[in-house]
Amino acid sequence: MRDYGTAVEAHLAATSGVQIRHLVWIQARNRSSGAIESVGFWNGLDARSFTIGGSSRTYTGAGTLLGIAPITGEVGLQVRMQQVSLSGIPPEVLQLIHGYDARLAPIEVHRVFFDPEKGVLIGDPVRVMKGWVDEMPVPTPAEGGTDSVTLTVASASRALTKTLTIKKSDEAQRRISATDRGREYASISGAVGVFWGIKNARAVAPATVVMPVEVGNPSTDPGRGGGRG
Amino acid sequence: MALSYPLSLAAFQDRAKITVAEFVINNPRQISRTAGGSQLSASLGDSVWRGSFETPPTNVRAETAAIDALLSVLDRAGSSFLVYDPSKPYPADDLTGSITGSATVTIRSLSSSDARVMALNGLPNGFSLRAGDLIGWTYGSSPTRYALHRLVEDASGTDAFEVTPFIQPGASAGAAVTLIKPVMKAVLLPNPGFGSHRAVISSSKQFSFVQTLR
Repeated sequence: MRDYGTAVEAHLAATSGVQIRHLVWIQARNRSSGAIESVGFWNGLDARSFTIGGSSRTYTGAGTLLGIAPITGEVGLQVRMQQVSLSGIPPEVLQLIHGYDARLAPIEVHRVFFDPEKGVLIGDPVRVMKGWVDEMPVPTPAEGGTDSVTLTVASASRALTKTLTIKKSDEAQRRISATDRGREYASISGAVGVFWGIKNARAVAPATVVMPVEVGNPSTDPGRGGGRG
Repeated sequence: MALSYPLSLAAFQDRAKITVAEFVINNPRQISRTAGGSQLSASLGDSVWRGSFETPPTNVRAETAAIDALLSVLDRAGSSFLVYDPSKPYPADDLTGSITGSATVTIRSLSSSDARVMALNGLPNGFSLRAGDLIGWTYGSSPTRYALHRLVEDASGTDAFEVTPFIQPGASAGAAVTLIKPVMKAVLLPNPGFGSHRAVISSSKQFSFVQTLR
């Protein structure tokens, strides 16, 4: 069982009735400025602030969040695809769709309990899902119909499917820190023979890719040494 | 002059004669009955006010045509209007508005641990609000939120009392409270009944609306 905290557990044990709401928090890139900005939706009434992880987050409500498919918890490394439905009408959702690039944006879903008798929050919101936005198709309904934007969210275990070093170029590293030369020679690593403390006859110029005009195929000159030796 | 939204009472509700009015709070919830006989319930959504109005049949087509025009404007996306319960415009102990009409009533306090409870400042001496009386106030900005609440118990002086539905965060102590014709902001539900028109009589119109905070 998830740990919701003592206050919520005492409330649930009383079986007096429950009022559960979900909060969705998306950190997407602003298309015009490139900055990462956050937008929150919840299925309660009106905009409301919740304190999560020590900071206050404002979630807009009034129908922006229509529903969340049942959240599965399971053992293992499988990437689970979760669906979150948003209404396509509110301006905040339109802003998310058109103003932000939400592709692979981090998304968090929290569950929050209210006291159905007093209408106030019990305990703190508990995170029930974390992942990335995978798809967000925007359908247009027929006249008089309603549409919903169904986000498909890949769970956090998708991080394990990411391939690593091959994507790490010198350029990528310099965008993080302009003076970081740690990956300066990443693109030619393994192609240049490096010898430490000994004289080696093979310590010659690196293998070069020759593009013969007639053939049109790149080939490595085998007689020049270098390579991975 | 072009209309601005939400339509004021003078622009819409005061111009329509209303014979049948319904004004309710709905609480969407689900119920599970267990083999043990206990009823388990869970809230599925927050409470909002809903209502419906019916206008009387009339032989003055000009009057109903004016309402038709307003209804067609309100049937657009983004339109909203202010509305009060025409069957409960005044507090129970002040049916003409003569006692509370001149009083300046404000919110005295709200409870952070119980969203049902509030207290008022400025009620006239000896005057009590009764269970079922409606009170309203505004809070927030862009857009202004209109809160409409109903007392669940009698209240007098500066005593704390319970209201329904729950008070939303955003309202603050000191906000002016309306006791007479408290309004809420509503949107018209699609496809209002414009009524049909015969040679002499225009039949009644029926339309429903639901509260909106934004």
